[in-house]
Amino acid sequence: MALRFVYLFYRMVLMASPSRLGSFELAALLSVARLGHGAYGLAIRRDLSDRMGRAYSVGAVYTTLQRLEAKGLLKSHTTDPLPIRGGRSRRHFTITGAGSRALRAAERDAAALWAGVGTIRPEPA
Amino acid sequence: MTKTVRIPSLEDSNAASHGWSTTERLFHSVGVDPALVDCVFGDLAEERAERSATQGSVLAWLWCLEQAVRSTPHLLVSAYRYGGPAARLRLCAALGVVGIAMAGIGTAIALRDGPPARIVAALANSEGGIVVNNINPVQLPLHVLDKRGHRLKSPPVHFERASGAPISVSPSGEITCRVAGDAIVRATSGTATQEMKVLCRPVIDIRESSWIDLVAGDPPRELPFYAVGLNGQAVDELRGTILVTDSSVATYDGNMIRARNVGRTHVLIKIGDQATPMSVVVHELVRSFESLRRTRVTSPGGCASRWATLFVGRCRPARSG
Repeated sequence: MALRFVYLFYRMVLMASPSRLGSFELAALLSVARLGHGAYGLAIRRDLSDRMGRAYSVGAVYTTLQRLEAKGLLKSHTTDPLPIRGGRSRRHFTITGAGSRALRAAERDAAALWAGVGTIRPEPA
Repeated sequence: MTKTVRIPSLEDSNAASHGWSTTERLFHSVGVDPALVDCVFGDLAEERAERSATQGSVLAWLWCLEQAVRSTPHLLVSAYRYGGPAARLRLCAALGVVGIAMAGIGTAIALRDGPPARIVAALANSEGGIVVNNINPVQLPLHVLDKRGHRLKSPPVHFERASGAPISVSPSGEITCRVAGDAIVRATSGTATQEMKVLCRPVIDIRESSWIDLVAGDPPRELPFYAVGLNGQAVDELRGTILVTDSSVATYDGNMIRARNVGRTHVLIKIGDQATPMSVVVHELVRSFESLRRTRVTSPGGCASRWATLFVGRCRPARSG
């Protein structure tokens, strides 16, 4: 457990670049775009888990959303406190103009990378 | 009705609307953004409520616990990334304290004494037997070790005589040798059991010469004494201590006494319940009578005569030519 903490700390603090969109950041941004007005933490996490096939932790999703907001790709607003959340508010996320441009750029990059790639067959052993 | 806020700005619109739990306060104390903590715990509460309705409260609680554990590193990283220098310092200090505590706990676990795993007879001879020269009751010397080899302090050990000579063995391990003979004693501590051979050789007396004369530089020699057993015969198997009061004059090593320097000292021989002192006088070897120092020749009392007696036999006059 302690080694996992150290590894995560190293990976997330020292290796993260503020200027580039990571794969999980891209997935979260796409999820927010997909969910529209219903994009808040719990819904985003469920959407990501369903599509990516793995259970993400609440903390992982929120820190990614926090990072995207710090980059100016997302903005958020909170609702009134809700009893089902123990008197806490929901924080809804929406994509900013910069976020929209980042998604389009990522789409173009992916299309450029996939261009010319036909059916992929593994090399015979 | 909604309002727009930014998470990294540490603004929190909900702090006054509900009480913070201890866990939330803990995260706040190490510098995690309160708004982020609020979001995380709000999601956990919401999904826990849903899971409690469908899966039961126990599974929902376990899920919540797992999420809290998995989310903690992310929250701490966020605190480091978005916190100021003071918050980072506080976070590092908190993590350092936790790390030191974990290291301490790990060390304590690694070094803790385990259950008894092995019983080792202390002072056993080469054949694993324990020689007892006492007539009075004496505690059987042994150590109880755990599987890591740590010596356990005061473990409960039960003793009993298994076979052999009819010696008396108390449950606490006191042995009384009223006859000479060999016996097997079984010691049990927890699941560990050990059978030991006890060689009862009671000694009723130590007979020795009242003093021994040595010459400095001579080879070591045996101490002239023997122990007497119950039958009046000499006892060969002995366990005891021999103490030389002045090791600058003579030393005892490997059952032999060696003269070091001219002088007088005492040797205390202790075997079983018996003890006796013996004087040791170390003389100087000279090449001729002329080289004897006047002070020694004229020293008063019997000391001078012992010098002369010994010296006559050991004098080697220098040969001319």
